[in-house]
Amino acid sequence: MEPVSPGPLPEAASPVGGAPAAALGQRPRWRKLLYIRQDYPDNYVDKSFLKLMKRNVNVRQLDYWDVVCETFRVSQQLSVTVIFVAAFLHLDSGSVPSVTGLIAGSCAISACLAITSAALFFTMLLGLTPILKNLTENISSDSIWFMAIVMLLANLLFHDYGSGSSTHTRFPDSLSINAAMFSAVLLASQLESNNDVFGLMLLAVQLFALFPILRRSMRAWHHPSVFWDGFFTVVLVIFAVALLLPISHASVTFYTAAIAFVTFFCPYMLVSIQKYKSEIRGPWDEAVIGH
Amino acid sequence: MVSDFFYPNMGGVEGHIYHLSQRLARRGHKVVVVTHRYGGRVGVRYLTSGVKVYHVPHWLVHDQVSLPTLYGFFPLFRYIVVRESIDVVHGHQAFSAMCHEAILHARTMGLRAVFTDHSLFGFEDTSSILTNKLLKFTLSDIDHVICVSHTSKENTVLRASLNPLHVSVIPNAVVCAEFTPDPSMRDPKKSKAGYFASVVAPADSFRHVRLVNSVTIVVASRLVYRKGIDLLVAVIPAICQEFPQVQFVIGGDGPKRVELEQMRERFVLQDRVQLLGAVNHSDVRDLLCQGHIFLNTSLTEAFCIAIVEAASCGLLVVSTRVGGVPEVLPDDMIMFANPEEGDIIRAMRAAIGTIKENAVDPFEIHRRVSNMYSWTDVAARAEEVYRCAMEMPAVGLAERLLRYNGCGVFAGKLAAMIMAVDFIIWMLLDE
Repeated sequence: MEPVSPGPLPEAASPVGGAPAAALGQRPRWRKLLYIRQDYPDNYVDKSFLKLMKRNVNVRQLDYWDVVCETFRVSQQLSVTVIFVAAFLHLDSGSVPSVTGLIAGSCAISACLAITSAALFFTMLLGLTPILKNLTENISSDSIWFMAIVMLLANLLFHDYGSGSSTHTRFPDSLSINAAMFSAVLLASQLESNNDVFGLMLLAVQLFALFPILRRSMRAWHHPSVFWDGFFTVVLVIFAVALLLPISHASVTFYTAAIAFVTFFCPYMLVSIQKYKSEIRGPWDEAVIGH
Repeated sequence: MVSDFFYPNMGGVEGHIYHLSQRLARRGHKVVVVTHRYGGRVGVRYLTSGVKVYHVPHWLVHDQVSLPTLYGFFPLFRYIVVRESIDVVHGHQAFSAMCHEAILHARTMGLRAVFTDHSLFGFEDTSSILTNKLLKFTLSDIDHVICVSHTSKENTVLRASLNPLHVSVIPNAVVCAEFTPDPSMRDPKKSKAGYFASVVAPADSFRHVRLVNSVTIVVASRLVYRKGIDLLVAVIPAICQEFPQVQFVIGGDGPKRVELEQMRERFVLQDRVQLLGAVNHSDVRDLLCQGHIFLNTSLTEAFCIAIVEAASCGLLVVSTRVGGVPEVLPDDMIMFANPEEGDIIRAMRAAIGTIKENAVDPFEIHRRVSNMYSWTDVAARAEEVYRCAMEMPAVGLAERLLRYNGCGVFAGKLAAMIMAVDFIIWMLLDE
């Protein structure tokens, strides 16, 4: 590679197509123009070379704790997924009576929706429950687990973490909700009783469809949003740990380690690699239309 | 001369290669143009001045760019180079895969390589990052680079980590004899003779007496986002409202044409905004001569040959201040605006005012532009670059491997391997 700026190479020092350098004193100053013929070689490099280049003008310095607060949304979605899976495992093993989930679900949904639409929703879901239960009878359980895991990962991947508005969510968010509902259907079809299926589907609707809306509106309603984000995160983490504890201690360890990684280590890495950032701007950039 | 872009395709690069080849041939050099096939046009063709054009059969991927095969083109390329006893290989345009491959093979064969960059790239989006990496690879081992403006030089030096002394700035040019002003074409409906008299007569005696009634603004560009058509859509209704005697003629086609048509419908400007669609290159002069003012709203431009053509036709130019445009014309022939609606309207207001005072003499502008840019001058300067490239010391295989290795931590190794394989293929071909 040839050096960018230091020390011109000896063979390049001879000017290309121009007067010898001796007359430098009398010559008019070089100007960055093409329409006049200047008494300088075509490969002349003026002092003003790259003067208009700007580096890192739009880069804002990230504060570690700000980034930590931003990661709360990721932790929340992660916890929501873990809670959902834990609830499924409890229902599947029969350690929790399905009536509990049913009641909890009904209350929350009724609170969120108007009474009429809530009634419609319940009837629909209740009617669909037997179908859902038998839906994947012919498919091996291994395929179900695999697909459910992939769909839950897709939910985590495409969730709209960024935009704060509850009306203009970005496209992949719908993909995220659909993936989560698909995995809910898959898991629900593995359950034994109609009540369990109904309860799990309710929980899925709440956690993946309605809860993000609630979080967004809370964030919009209360500034600074850090308070609500922190509050929700703490509540969700406690819930998730409480649900995971009876299942296995290893799962609790993994879960808390993941939360710690996302909340503390990832922001640390992001902030520490900021110093390598080199953003170059100059007159060659495509102009942005201003108003 | 190697590039994917050549006639019958139309554009700035094509014209550049054509005119440069013609002028170089006229100066006694042997020039061969190598490009890919265009439709049924395969094989060797001759241009009027005896320049040979090789249309190499090659697959295309997108928009006249040949499929990058890395080595597929080498045997044919070597055949051409040996047969024509070529000394310098001159590649054009960073988009052209053929140009990159030709430079790599030329260096392997120990020839001199020169590259001309015709466009500007940012550093942000994925396509720029990829193209920049490719450019860095090709330009790791090159004798000289030519850019069309100083801004373009800064850009290229940054993109390919070059030594700025190895980069020369040689602007584009215009055949001014093909772009002569003809004010009688400006307003066919109004009295031709009277208008003409005002221009031909000494300007001072008429300047404040006879005012121009109707002002025509010409726009000629591809109708795409990069040419700032969104700005145009916003500016035209405002100008039409403010100046009832102004009309627009827009030549060119592209995806943004629909937006212009919608704007025309919404503001009921059908009789004042003419959309001509695609214009043949031979008709551009007639289009330009219909106007008093040329409006360019580009968002990025390395040189902008359109404004030079317009100025050569005696039009007052209004342009956005982007890329290399500020270097192209002196301040009294061009009015600059920032790429925003309000500022363009301000510049247009000033330009229309100047035209109304009849303060612009098209023939004077034409005379000055024809002194500024000529292909003969470009060819002479390119000749200097070739001479300088010929004087560069020959580079050994080890040194070349080291240069390619400098491309990057991983990319460097890959580049060195590609080069080494190229070398082996060359040795096989030479057997």
